[in-house]
Amino acid sequence: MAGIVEQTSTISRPSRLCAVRSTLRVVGPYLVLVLAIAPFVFPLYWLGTAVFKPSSSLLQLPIEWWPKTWTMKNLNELFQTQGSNILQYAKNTAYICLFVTVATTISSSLAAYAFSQVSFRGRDALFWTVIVTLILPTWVTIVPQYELYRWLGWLGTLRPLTWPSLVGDPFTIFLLRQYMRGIPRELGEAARIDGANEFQIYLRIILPTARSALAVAAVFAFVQSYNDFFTPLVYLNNEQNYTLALGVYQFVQLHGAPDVAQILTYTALVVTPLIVVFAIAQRWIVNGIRLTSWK
Amino acid sequence: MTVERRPLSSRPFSRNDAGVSRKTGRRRSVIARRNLRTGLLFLTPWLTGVLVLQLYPIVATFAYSFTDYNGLTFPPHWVGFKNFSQAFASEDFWTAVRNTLWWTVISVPVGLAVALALASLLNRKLRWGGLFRTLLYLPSMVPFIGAGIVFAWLFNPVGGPVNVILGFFHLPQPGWFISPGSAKPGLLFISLWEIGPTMIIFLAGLQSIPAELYEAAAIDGAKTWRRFLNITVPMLSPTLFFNLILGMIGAFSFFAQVLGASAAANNTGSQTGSMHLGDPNNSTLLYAVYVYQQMFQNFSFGYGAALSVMLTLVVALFAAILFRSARRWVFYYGEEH
Repeated sequence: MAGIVEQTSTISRPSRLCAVRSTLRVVGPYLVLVLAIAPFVFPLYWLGTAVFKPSSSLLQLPIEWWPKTWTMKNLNELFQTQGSNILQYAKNTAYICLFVTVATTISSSLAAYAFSQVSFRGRDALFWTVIVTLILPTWVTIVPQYELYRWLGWLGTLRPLTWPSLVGDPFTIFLLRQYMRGIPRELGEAARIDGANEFQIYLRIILPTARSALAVAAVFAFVQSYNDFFTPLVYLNNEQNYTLALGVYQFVQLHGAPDVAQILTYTALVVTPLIVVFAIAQRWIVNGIRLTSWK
Repeated sequence: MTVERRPLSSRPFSRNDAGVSRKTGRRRSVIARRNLRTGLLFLTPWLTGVLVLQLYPIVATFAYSFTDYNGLTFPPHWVGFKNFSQAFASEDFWTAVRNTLWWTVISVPVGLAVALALASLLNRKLRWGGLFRTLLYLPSMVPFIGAGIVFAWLFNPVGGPVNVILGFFHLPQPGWFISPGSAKPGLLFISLWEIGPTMIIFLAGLQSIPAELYEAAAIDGAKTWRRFLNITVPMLSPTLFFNLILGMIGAFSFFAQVLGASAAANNTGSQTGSMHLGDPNNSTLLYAVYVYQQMFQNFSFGYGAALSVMLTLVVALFAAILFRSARRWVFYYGEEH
């Protein structure tokens, strides 16, 4: 910005047109950005205010851009409505997310260590397998997986959503491996000379060095498992076990237009935890995404 | 920013970092064997997962695709290519293929263009840039199912704010998620709303382009457009390639938003009756939705398996084309070929 100001002041005969142009060059990008941002922010604003609007005003014209009266009625009613079960679903979701976050991060870091810090024959071919499983459509594995879980007696429990995370997740492995490649082998070598075994090197040297990447991986695993709609839809057939994502979908299907206020309130409550996570972990999330892009 | 700046030459599959240090032959083989053992030991959980939850299921799915399996009678009957011919004869199948083709061809390029445009704006080092980035990224944190529901209400033809705004400017007001002609464009807006990750990846790519290149071009008198074409595009090609792959995966697995939007739109009171996947009038019957319907509503596992085998082959073909063509147009700066 300073450069532009300097540029215009050095012009010998500053005409008015020139001044208008230079202001436009400074303000223009901001104008474009604000216009571009409006559609991104508006849906969230709309959802957030709908929670506190009286349900009668939601389907009415003219539209209420800003709530005339604020009410807590929607929230109160939602928690009392039969079938909203929101507290039970929140409990299930919390359990699943915590299990998956911890298990995915640990198990994926083991694989990422092998893919980045150990050299062995066939390693690159195996790493290609990670990429392939990342691209593979869910559909081509879902039926036999479903049968496997049925055979194990897991249908109707939360296990099909939690236990598979014990074997790691290709995206997390990819992310952690990208980071761990940047850790010099000499760190491990030095410890090895001091008598550390391979597992100690992994635990005491590599994991602490990669802790920022582990935090990123954990946040991603949490968000992904919270967001997951498909897996619960397929495996959870007992209402007591529903997650929030599945619960809100069922609520929408059972309740129609008269309950629009409650549907939107439910949705807002399901959305809020991830917005909070983003507020806390924004820097990790943004940097983590950069980490994934491969070069 | 605490982003690790890696040298530009470090690609995921460089050939020279798997080598073992030069020692005597025997010592090398001892180390190699020890490393193999260590590597496999650390890979045990992952390998178990690949074998049990990926490899076996893929083989089984391919086998099921030639049977009439319904999940109950085992072993199922071998029916040869009947599932495939049944698909080719089915109207719904072709609707799903057409919808998915439309979706992929439109949503991926439009998404990339919007993400790149936003990233370029953010790359201009504006004041409050961090805030702008946060606001643009925030919608991507909304769970997909929630996004579908919210958009069904935003685009609700009766009193939804979008159509009120369109009406104010005397523009046509489509029925969006309750009208077959405009449901897919409605879905497009959902996917654009959640473009954040793609935008961030582009932004990182833009920021890694050395400023000297632009300075040199400016000295040579290159105009903005030429600089974009001759510097930004080639320098950004690895990022573009990466986002293209991600976009393709995302387009083929677009699912929760569709169900959320059609369920919520169905209950706005504009339509009656329970929700049918693909509503309105099969216009949102994307391939993923169709496979789900066949597998887990009709429990036609054999037919569903055939559908997913075809999808996998198409995805493999797309991926192969992308990876092959990448050699021509993806340019790694500072690396010799």
